[in-house]
Amino acid sequence: MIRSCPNCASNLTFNPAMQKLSCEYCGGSFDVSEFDVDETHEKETVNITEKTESTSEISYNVFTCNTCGAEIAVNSTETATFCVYCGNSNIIFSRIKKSKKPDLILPFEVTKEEAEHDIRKKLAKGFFVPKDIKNFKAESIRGIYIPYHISDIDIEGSVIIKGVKKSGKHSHTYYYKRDAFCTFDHITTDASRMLDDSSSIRIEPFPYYSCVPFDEDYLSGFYADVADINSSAALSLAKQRAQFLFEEALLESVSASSKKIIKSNYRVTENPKVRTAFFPAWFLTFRYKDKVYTVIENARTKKIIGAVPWDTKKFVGMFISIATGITAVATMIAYAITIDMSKDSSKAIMYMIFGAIAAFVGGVNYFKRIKKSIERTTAASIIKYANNRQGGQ
Amino acid sequence: MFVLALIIGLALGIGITLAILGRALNTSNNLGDEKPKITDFSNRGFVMVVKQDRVRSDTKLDIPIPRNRN
Repeated sequence: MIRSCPNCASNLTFNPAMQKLSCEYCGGSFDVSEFDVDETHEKETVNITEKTESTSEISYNVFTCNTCGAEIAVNSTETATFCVYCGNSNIIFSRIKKSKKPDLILPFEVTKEEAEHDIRKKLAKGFFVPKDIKNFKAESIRGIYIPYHISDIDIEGSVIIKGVKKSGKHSHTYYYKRDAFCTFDHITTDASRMLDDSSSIRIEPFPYYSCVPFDEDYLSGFYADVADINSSAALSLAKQRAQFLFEEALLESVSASSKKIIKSNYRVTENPKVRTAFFPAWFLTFRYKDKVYTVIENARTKKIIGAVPWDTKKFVGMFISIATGITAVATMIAYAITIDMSKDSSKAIMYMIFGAIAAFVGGVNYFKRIKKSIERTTAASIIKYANNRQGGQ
Repeated sequence: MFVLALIIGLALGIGITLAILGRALNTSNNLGDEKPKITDFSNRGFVMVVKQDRVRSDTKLDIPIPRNRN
């Protein structure tokens, strides 16, 4: 069920620019607080019917659209969607009631038009982004509330870090002691199995202090899923994450060329009360060479995440020209050293060989890591997350 | 000798170019790939209590004092 406009009875949707519920037809706008929450709950039990259908591969639920009465198929976690027939927004209140209702919500602030403009601008700046992608035609732009768990964690620890410092030809090993504590008041972890963790981590941080108590009216005009990861799993993930960030901060305090923690003693204290919040993001989908790609924008901080294919011709051209230049210079230097048969030059040749091997292995591995990261981010799971929903936007 | 110099040059050329282009590709096509920092998540901050450089490797670790989470 969706809010109706008190003036013309049309459906109201949440307008991120105005931070109000607005009516597309009569132009009226209303504060979310103007509506009584209890009234909504009573309405939904009358209007929404739920039945479950399953095939051998997937299980989905069928809801009846409040506006046109058509049957809409939704996945097992969706709480807000659009009707594929009439295009109207539908909120599945019974699911919010049945499942754990989120404690907080961060309303959308970036509009759909702004999101498309930002993504277009970002991609236009990409040196290796193909022209066709820079001028993409958006297939869909969906505003989705992603569920997150919020945990409070204190971590206190004492560590010994081994660091190697280089001075000229010599390297020295030193040991460093660090004691620190950190209070993570709101460490966020993705509460949706459908969205892969690398994307949900990348799109953070969200401005926690702008969250408001959950109200279903903020969902109107957007998609939303309820949490399908339980709070104990979230807490254990938050602890791992806190420890990782804590260790990174400790290592950062040591200036050495290579460093690692060799001994540690931690105490991790958690607040057992894990909260759930809905955080907003725009998912823009476009097609390039018959393949679908999705770019995501944080609808509060405007952070853009996602990966797109690169212009292979441009990349190869750049590779050949830069590699040829470096190879020519390096070959000339190496040749000048190798023709000098003195004792010192043999040492220099050895250094050059080791240096060349290290540069080759390091360069290839780094490139492989980037390539893998791009492939992982363009993986089908992200596209599925945005696309396996009813149409409407 | 020239062949050796060429092999060294090629290895350096390919390695350095891949590293440079990999970085450029990451900035250009892999959006939002920054490593999160502790300051992105900690709202009450990270406090360093002890910072000792050049200690012995067998230095004893302190036992963290239990705190009440409020």
